[in-house]
Amino acid sequence: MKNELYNSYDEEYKNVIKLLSELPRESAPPNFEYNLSVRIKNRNFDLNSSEKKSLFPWRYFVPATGAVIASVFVFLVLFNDSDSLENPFQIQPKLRSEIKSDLFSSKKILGSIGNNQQINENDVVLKEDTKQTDKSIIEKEENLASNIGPKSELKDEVKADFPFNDNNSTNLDEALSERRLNTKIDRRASLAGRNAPSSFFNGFYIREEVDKEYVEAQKAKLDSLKKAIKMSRIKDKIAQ
Amino acid sequence: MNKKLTEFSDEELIKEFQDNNTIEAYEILVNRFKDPLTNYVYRFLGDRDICTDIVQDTMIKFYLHKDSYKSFAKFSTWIYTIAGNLARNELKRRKRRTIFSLNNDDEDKKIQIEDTSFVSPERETDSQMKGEIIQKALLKVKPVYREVVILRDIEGLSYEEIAEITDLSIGTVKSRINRGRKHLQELLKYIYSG
Repeated sequence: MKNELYNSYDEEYKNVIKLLSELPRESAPPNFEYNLSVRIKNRNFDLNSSEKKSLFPWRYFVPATGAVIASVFVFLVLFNDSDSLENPFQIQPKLRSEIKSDLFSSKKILGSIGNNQQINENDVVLKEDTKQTDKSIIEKEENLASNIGPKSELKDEVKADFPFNDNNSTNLDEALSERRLNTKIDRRASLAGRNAPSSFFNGFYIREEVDKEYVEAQKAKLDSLKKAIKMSRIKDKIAQ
Repeated sequence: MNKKLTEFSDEELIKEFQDNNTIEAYEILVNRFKDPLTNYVYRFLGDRDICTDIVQDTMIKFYLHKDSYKSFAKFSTWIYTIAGNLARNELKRRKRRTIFSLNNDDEDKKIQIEDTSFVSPERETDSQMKGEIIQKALLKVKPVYREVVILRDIEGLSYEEIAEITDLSIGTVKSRINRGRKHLQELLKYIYSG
């Protein structure tokens, strides 16, 4: 059935088939065999036609070149996000309160390293039930300082920022008033390269008043610590 | 009882060449196939110089890789396959060159037809013109169709042989031949109608 179909096609295209079959036959040039035998005798087996290969293997470098170009293009397109880059001259300076909170969080980290406990900003630590002695607390602090190493500088920094420390009692009112007095000193400055008289200089940053709530929280914390230590001493004495 | 080499079939000759490396057998095969292959490649590419190079390369490949021929296949299909592959590669290379070429003047490409025998000038001119038109029409047919049409209608090979040469199924070969013929019929309708 299928053969009949194709035979019918042969009938349909008989004119074309006739034209093609009547085409003059092309023949090889007279020196074909001679040239071939010369090539074989000389062992010249390089192909004259399309299979002739170039000396430099360009095609092996095409994929690598393509990959490099594509990766550069992708890098330029995806990572050239100029909007995400911040101009350092346009960065707003941090507020005092933010700096303080950062310092407080770093202190918390230090505290958690020592005690494996996290201290919240508003937490008042009451260690009435603790059985730890002063000695153990001091040893822990020493161990912590030795473990932290360079971070102890940060601890000092944290301590230096506040007008009180854990060991001594501090009159906060006095400390604050001192601070206020100190800020009034050296506020006069003159611009370099000008003969203009010195003018009032209030610093590069916006000055902010101390956060009262924060101070209160610290105060309460100190009081609770003192109370806890006192209680533990009393308990020790009773035990003895 | 000893047969002359010239009386050997193609398959016997290649076997002789494979087994005993008889150059004479190789030469007889070259002599038998140089013209049909030249005609096939020329009709496929339409360029005489290149077609001679391709047929030479085919014979070189045959000489170098004689052992890759297996006796269950016909020698003619094997050698046509080699020539066809080389011709297709040449066509691809030409296409690339045409894409990158700034001067693509098709008018410069002249079809060469050999002056084989003496005929009256009128008939000769008429025959030459007809041949040129048919060749141009053939080159306008898609290579996949052109190849099978040449093998079938010019070289006179069977569908089975064409299927083996082109590595296609017989059904595909037949349909491609008919598509090629149909296209040629449209291109040549003024010749056979007039």
